[in-house]
Amino acid sequence: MTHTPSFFARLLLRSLLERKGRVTVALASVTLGASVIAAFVTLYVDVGAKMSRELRAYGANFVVEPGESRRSLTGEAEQALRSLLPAERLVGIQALLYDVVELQGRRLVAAGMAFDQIRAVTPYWQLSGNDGAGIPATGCLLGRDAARKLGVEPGHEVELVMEARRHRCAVTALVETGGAEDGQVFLPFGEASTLFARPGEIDLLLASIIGALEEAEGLARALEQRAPGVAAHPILKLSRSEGIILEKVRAIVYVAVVLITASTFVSLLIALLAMVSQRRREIALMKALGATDRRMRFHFLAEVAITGVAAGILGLAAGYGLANLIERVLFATAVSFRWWLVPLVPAVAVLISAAGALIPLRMVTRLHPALVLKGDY
Amino acid sequence: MIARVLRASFWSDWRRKLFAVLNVALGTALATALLNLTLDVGDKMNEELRGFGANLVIVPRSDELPLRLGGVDFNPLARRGGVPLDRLRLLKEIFWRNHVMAFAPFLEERVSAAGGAVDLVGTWFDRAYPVLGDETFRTGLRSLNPWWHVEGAWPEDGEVESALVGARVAEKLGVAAGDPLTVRLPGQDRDARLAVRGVVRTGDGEDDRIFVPLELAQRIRGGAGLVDLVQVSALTAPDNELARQARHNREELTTRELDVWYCSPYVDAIAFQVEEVIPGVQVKPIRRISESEGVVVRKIQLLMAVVTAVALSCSGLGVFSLMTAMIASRRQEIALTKAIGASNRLLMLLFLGEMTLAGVVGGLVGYVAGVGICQLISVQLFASWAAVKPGVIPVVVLLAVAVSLGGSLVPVRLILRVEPSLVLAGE
Repeated sequence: MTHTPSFFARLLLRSLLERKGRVTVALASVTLGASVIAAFVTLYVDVGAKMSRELRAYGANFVVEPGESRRSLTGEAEQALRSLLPAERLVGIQALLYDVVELQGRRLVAAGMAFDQIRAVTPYWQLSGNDGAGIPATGCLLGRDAARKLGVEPGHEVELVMEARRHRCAVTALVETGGAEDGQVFLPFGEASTLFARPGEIDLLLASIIGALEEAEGLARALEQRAPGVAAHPILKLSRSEGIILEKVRAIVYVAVVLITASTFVSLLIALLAMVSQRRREIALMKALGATDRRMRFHFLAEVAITGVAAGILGLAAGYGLANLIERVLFATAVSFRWWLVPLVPAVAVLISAAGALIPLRMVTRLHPALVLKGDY
Repeated sequence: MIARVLRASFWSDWRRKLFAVLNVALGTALATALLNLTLDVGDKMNEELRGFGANLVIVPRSDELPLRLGGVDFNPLARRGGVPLDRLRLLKEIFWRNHVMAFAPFLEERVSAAGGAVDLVGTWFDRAYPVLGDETFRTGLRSLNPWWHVEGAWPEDGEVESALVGARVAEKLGVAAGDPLTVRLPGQDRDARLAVRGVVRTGDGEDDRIFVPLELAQRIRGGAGLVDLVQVSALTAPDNELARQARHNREELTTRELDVWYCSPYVDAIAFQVEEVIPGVQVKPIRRISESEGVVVRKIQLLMAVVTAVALSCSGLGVFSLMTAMIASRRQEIALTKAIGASNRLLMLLFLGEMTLAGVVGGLVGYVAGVGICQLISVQLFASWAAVKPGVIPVVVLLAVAVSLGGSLVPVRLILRVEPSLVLAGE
C-alpha cells in the first residue's frame, strides 16, 4: 500500500486533531520538560558570572599603587584603568589620599575618598549614627574606635588640623570595619587634597572588578604599560578564594541541573510511553489494514516531529520566562536570551518525544494485530 | 461485594500499576535527593567560606590611636598592651567552642636585614593545641588561610629560625624558598640566620612581612606572654534583623531577644562571649570577611532553595502527566467498577491511596539516593563526609507524598468524566 502525500498529510492531521485532549497533554508535558531544560541550561551558563558579581561583596580585589620611583599616583592612573575595563566589569574605583592629621590634639590617620564609591568598593563597611540614612554625601566619617577614644559622637563638629591648615566638618556617621579604618577619619577627596596640600595626587586606587584571576593579572600588566610609574596587582588571596568558591557553586548547580534534567526526561518518557501504549488498538488496526512497520514508524515520527517542534518552541519561550523568574529572585537581574538554545531545545524535545513513541511502538507492532483487536492485550 | 470487586480490579495487572507507582517514586526520589543536597550544601559552603581567612580579631583594649601609614608606624613607642597568650585556651571552652575553627597569635617586630628594615611577625604555623575534649586540634596561620599560595613549603613551628617570607619582601631582599636570610634582632647580641622555607603572595599586607615561629618574636620582645593580636576563624550564622539590631543598640533589646541573640552563632555574639572570658581585650569582627560571608551564604542557600522548589514542582507536574495517562489507560476498568456501583469518591480515594503509597516509597528511595548523591558531592567538592541527618526522613517523606498527591489532584478528577455506558460500549 502506498500513500499519496495528500493522504498521508490528511492521516497525520486527523490523527492529531481527533485526539485533541491527549495531544494537548503530550504537548503540555513535552513543553514543560523543554522549558525546564532550557531554564536550567541558562541558569548553569549564567551562574558563574552572576555569582562572581555577588562575590564582589568582598569588596576591592585590585590595587594600584605608585611604582618604585614615584611618591604618588595621578588621576591619569584612574582614567587608564577605566579605559582598559568595560563598564560592566568594573563595580567601582576608590581613590584614596592618606596623611596624618590632628584632631582635638591627638594624631590620627585621615583619608580622602569618594563617599559615593563606598557601597561599591567596600560594601561591608558598617555605618552607624546616621539613623540608617545610607552613606552620607558630605561631612566626615569617623572610625568607631577613634570616636570612642576621642569622645566624639555622630553629629559633633570636629576640626582636623594639619600644619597651619584647618578643616571643619560635622561627623555624619561612624565607621566600623574591624580593621585599621576603625581608628581613622575619612573626608571627601577634594577637601582632603586641600587640607593635605597635595592637589592632584592619589596614594592608592582600590578597584572592585569582575573577572577571573588571569584576567585581573592581564589587566595589571596592561595598566602598568598604559600608565608608566604605577604598580598594579590583584589581591590574590581574594581572587583565588573566589575562584575556588565559584568552582564549587558551579559544580553544585551542575549536579542539580543534571538531576533535574534527568528526572524531567524520565518522567516525560514514561508519560509518553503510557500515551502511545493506549493507542495499541489503533496501531493494530493500521497494521491489519496493511501498513508496514516502517510506514507506521514514519507516521509516528511525523506526529512526534510536529508536537516536538511545537513543544520545543513553546518550551523555549516558557523556559526563558522561568530562567528570568529564577534569576530575578536570585540575583535581581534579567537573563539575556541565548540564541544557541533555539535549535537545541526543539531538537531535545523531538528526541524525547521520538524515544517516547518508538519504544512502545516497537512493543506494540511485535504483537499480532488480531489478538490486540480481539482485546486479549 | 463492591469492595471485593474493587480490590480484585486494582490487584489485577499489578505489574503495570507497580511500574506506575515506581515511576512516581522515581520522580519524587530525584526531587528528594535535591532537597537533601540543599539542606547540606548551606552548611558545607559556610565552612568552605572560612577559606577566605579570619573573621574575628582580638586586640588589646587601649587608649592609643594606631598611626600606621604606608607600612610606617608613626607612633612606634606606644606599647599597646597585649593579649595574654595563655588565655587563648578559653576560645575552645566558650559556648561556641565548636564553631571556633582556628586561631593564631601575632607578634610584630621591626628588624633590620641586609636590604633594609623589615617587619617580622611571630605566629603559629600549624601547631597541635590540645584543648578540652579534642586532643588533636591543630591551629595556626595555615588553618586560618588554607588557600594561601605558598611557593616552597610552610615552615615548621619546631624550627624556630625558619621563615615564610612575603613576596614583596622576598623581591626586595632577593631571597627565594631554600635561601638563608640574616636579620639583626634588636636587643640580641648575634644575628639570626633564618631558613626561608617558603614565599607567600597574597596581594595584600602579608606580602610586606616575614612570618616566623612565635618563639623567635618573643625572644626579641622579651617574655610576659603577651601578643599584639590574635586572629580567629569562626563558623557564624548570617546576620538577620535581630543581629543587626543587637549590633546597633543592644540596650534596646528585650531580655528574651537578648537571650536568643546570645545563644546564636552571630559573629557579634561570638565576639561578645570572647570579650567576656578574656579580660582587657577588644574582639572585633573583620567585616570584610564576616559581612561578605553572610551575603554569599544567603545567596547560595537561596540558589539551592530555588533549584529545589523547581525540582519539586517539576516532579509534581511529572506526576500530573503520568496520572493523566494512567487514568486514561484504565478507563475501561474505571467504567466497569462504576457500572457495578462504585462511587466516584471511592474510586478517587483509591487512586489517591495509590499515589500516597508511591509518595512514601519515593520519599524513602529519594532519601537514600539523596544521601548517596550528597556523599558523592561532599567527598568530591569538600573532601569530607556529609552528616547524615535521620531526622529529615519524615520531612522528606511528607514532602514526597505532598508532591505525589499535589500532582494527582487534578488528573484524578478525570474519573468523574468517565461515562460507564459510553466507555463500555466501546466509544
